[in-house]
Amino acid sequence: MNNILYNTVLFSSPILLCTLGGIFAYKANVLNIALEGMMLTAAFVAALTVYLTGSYLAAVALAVGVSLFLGVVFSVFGVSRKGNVIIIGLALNLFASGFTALILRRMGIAKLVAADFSLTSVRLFSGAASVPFLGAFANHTLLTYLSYALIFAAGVLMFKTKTGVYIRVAGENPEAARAVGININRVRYAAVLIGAAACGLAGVSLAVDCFGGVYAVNMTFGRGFIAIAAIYCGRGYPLKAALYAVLFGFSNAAAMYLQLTSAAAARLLTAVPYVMIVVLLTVASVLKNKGNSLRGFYNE
Amino acid sequence: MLKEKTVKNIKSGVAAFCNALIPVLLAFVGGALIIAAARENPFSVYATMLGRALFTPDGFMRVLHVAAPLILTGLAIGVTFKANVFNMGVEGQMLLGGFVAGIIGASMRGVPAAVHIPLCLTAAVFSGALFALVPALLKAYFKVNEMVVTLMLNYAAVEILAFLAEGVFRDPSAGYVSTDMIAGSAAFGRLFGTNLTAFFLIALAAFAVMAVVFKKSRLGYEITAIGKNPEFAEAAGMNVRKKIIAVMLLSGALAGLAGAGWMLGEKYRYTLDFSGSPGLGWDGMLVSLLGSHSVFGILIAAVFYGALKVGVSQAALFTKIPNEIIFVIQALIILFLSVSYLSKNVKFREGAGRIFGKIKGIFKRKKGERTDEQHTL
Repeated sequence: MNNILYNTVLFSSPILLCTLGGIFAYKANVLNIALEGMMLTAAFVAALTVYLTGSYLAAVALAVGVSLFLGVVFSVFGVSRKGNVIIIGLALNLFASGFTALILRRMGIAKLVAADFSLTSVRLFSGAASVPFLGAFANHTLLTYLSYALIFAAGVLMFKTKTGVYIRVAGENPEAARAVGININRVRYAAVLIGAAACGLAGVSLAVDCFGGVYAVNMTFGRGFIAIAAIYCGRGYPLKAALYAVLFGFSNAAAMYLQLTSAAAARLLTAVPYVMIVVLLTVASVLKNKGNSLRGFYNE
Repeated sequence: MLKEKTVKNIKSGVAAFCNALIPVLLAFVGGALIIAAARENPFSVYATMLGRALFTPDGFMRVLHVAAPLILTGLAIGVTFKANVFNMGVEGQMLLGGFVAGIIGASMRGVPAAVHIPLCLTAAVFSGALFALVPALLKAYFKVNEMVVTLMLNYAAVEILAFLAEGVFRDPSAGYVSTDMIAGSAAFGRLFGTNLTAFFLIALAAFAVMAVVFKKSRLGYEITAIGKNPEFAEAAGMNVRKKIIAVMLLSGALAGLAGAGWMLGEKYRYTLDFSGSPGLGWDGMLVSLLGSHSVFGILIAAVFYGALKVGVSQAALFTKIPNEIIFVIQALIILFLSVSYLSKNVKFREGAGRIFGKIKGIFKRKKGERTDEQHTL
């Protein structure tokens, strides 16, 4: 049980980071479905960095850097050139999985494993790991704790700061924003880049914190899209969206635990989190549209 | 009047062609840089690709064979994008179709081919359509975002099919995870000793049907109308809810057919890499984008992309360039395709405005914010 709880805390972290970062682009009305690709690239770079240097900090810096670069590409095409952001997102996702697979192939390995790397030195509160219940919340890296702290940080940034107001206005009423002299493109760049930076952290969290410095092809396996689903379910509110992200982290951890006990159905259990997201989205949508008799299928 | 229309059509055709060609060229330049970075000569790699794929009879037949499922998945994506519904689940629906065809193909013995093959295809078409019905109903009745649902169901489908292939339906004699080989009566034979099978003809037939649907039928007209402005379409008396379901069913059916054909004509058994990577469904996305969601455009784009695929696999044999380069080129094409380079004509702008309007529509909180979209329409 403690194991499930520990893994829930751990595996929620990358999705949480992705969700909280993605909220800003969502609010600024540029749907960033490249979260998946950014996280994947960042995971690759993070695993490669700890494999080569063994430095956790370098992994964080490089992963965030690469993810930001993808964010800039996304913004140049999607914001400046006004391309279709869904298509750009798809392209970046494909590029991420293709390019990382290409490099792995050139290196002649199927999977990157930083065998010499150990997380022990970067874990906090290791002493409390054996305490029942509370132990599940100890022995994590700073990044994992940070991802939970970011729930509140994102809320503050979104609702209490000027940047947050600008982002929301740029999304909700671009004409008004333009009228009062806000540079919408710049605001949207900022929103996308916040998401990209968070995805960089999510990549580190996934490859290094969760799997101890491993990169396998397509290892994000839809976590970026789950983050998008969480954003939709939470309708852009950090705390609500975070709840959905943690819920997914829980079902992920539960599936992993059950896989250990029943190998035969293991594959089937990995499908559960995805189906759960669909159910959650449906419930959220039914609740939202209750008593709504507006015409139309496209306005959400 | 007529002349003016013809000129306009030619103009928009040229612009659409250029808007497809420029991204492809840019992507090939990008690909060349990556090939050069891998210390290979990009010119000789591209020459090998082209020569082996297009300029040998065998290679060209192979290209058409590979293009067959792409035509179908391209149409599957195109039909939904035209209606402004985003079915990202073509990959999953295609896998399910292939799996079902494979199971029926393997489990029945001693049936004549004239019964066996149609049975496999029909079952696959129905299973693809049924799978697409889930997001369709959720979208039509509960307004659940179909894009996220279809994406999620893809992952679920991959896992569930892998579970079935590893368990109940596993061929114990195979050294890797695989279902039983389909019976000879279910497999498409080679036509005239070439690489082509009847699957290509079926894909062409589906293409012809879709062309008629879009050019001549009421459904095609309604799909286009809904794609352009759903509120107006509904106000004009179209049942948008029903049409969304119809479009998704059609898309799922095409995807299922694509999977079945690939199973009976190429793979003969379901393995975990049945669809290859990035997957025939995702290739269909590129094909549809490249053909700007028009039926004829999709046909041309499918053959082009088939040539690219065959060329890369040939280049991988004869040079040190790994197969994965194709992802990168594909991703670059899609990326460069996302922005338009020529928007001189009304027709193209309309399309861009529609897609852009849809994205805005996703987030739209308040009504009465449609101004941007209306300008472009």
